[in-house]
Amino acid sequence: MKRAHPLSIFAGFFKELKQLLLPIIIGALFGIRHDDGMSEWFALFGIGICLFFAVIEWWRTRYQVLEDQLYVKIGTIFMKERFIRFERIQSLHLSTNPFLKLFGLVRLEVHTAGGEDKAEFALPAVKRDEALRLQERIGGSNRSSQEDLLAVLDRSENSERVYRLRGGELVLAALTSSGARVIFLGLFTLLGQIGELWDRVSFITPLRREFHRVIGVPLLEAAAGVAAVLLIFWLLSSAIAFVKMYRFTLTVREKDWVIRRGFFEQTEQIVPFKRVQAVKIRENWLKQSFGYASVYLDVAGGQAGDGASEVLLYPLIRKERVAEFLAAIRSPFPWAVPTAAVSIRAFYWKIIKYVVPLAVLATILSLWVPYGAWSWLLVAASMALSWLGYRDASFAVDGDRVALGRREFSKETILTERKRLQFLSCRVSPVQKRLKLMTVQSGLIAGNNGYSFRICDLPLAEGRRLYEWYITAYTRSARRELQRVDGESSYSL
Amino acid sequence: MQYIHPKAIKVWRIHGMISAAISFVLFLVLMLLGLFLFRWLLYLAAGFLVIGLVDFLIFVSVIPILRWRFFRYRINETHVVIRDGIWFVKHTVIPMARIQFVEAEQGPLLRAYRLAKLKISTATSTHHIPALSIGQAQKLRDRLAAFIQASDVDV
Repeated sequence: MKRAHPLSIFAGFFKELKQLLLPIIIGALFGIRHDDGMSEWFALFGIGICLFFAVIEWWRTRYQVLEDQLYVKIGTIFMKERFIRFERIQSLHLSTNPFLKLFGLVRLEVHTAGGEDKAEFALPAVKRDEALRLQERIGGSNRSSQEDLLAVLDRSENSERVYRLRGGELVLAALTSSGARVIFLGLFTLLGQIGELWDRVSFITPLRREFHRVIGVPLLEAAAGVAAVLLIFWLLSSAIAFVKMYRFTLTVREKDWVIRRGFFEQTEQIVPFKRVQAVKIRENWLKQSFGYASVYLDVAGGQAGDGASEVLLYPLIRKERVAEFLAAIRSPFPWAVPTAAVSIRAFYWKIIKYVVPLAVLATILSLWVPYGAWSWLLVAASMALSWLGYRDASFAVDGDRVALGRREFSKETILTERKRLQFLSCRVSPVQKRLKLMTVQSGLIAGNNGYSFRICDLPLAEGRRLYEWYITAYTRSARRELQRVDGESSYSL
Repeated sequence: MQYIHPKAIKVWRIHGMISAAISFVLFLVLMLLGLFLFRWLLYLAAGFLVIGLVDFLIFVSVIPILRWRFFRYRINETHVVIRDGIWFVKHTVIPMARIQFVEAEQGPLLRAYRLAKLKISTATSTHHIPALSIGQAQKLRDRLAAFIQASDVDV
């Protein structure tokens, strides 16, 4: 049995420390200020535990290459033994960071089909030669992972076109990446802490004194406080996005895309075109108001690298250039504008569904709760969202291609084709029936699972058109056609 | 479009009765506790009484018939269509090529009436046909399996 390189300890240690980083930052911001000097000891204790577990993990992670399988022993507290057959291994993912590069080491992850998004087996640091040897043994029965490796180590692929996120674009992409999330995060933190906020937080107190001097109105003071907290959250999440998207490059090759990004740790993802289930053009409200969009992918099968079921293909692109961009990167699904008619009745129904209940709540709050009148902002926001949402629920079909427009918080256009949609449901509630509306639900594969999504409140006639388009393909003759055309098998576990 | 097995109505009625019975038992227990221990438990007891009565009145008498009346399905070589819902009407199309597996499932109640539930799963969702006779469920399951194999193109 072999072990990973001893520097694994540090790699694992830093990885665990990184997970602790956010709580530490938040703790520092929101002033856990003990005067008894105990907090330093707590921090040291935490770091010690991290180090201890990193050592144990390194010591207890062992592997051995058998004839046609990999035998691994893992587990810090509970020992686990696993036999991973080579043919079950979908990809061997190698990555490096500056620290590992210094010692000629790589991080190795073994991904299998049907597993969770997490790697089945990972070595935080292993000699490059050893990784290559492993790759050779396993790669013999697995072509695609061989290609993965060559891309990581050689960097001499005959790439055709490279798209790079330049400095200004990167900053803009980072600043507009958070959208609604940051507002929710900020507001929830505020709701949870609003009582203690004023007294406890170290950096708020002087701010508050200043505000009080300048403004002197309690309500405005509170508003300024809220704005300040939101600003901090926004900057924080922008910084995280910046680190994630640093040095973002998209390389278009003959049969796949290579996506590289990362500041501390450069990750690399290879997305074969034939595994792409859908291309999603997403505009959060920040991006939409500046006329930008970002491009995401749903990709079937286990992903090497990030583990997220959704792949960021390109973070920032001008909305009017999306069609041109998708054509240039040889996207399997070209851009199409959802053109199906929308109905103002959908807006009325959304008002009844979302705005009216919130308005009732806001009335109650403003009568009985101090500062409750601020909840009318929420009513206004839901009103705006209803207005935008009703106009974004649409679709367009062209042969087998389909573009589905929808909005939850961000506007999203899903570009895909009929056979990628796993099912289609049409749902009509009694009120919708009266208003001649319909909600369409469908599902797409992403990662090892999938998800369902809804397009709410399409006009009944348009919804029926979509339903007919979906079902008519599956008549007998169409099926024969399908069988003949689709020789390539894109997703097989 | 086909209806499911009419015995489903009986099964659903028994389901309703069981949940009504549970509510009534809880009502009795809470009432006794309320009388002798904490008075506020009486409100909870009243709640369970209402739930039990509603169960008894609606979920035993009316709903099963309507549910049966409004559930229909169609299975052919290329797709499965399920129409479900009394007030919220839902039509679902599941192409044969997208189905990943089919399961016939039985609970104790269904078994007593020699019925089975058919579960049809795609990569992203599971759809049910709630009550079929065992023979029919198995036949459908096998037929679906055969179709799935025949149309095993790709995703």
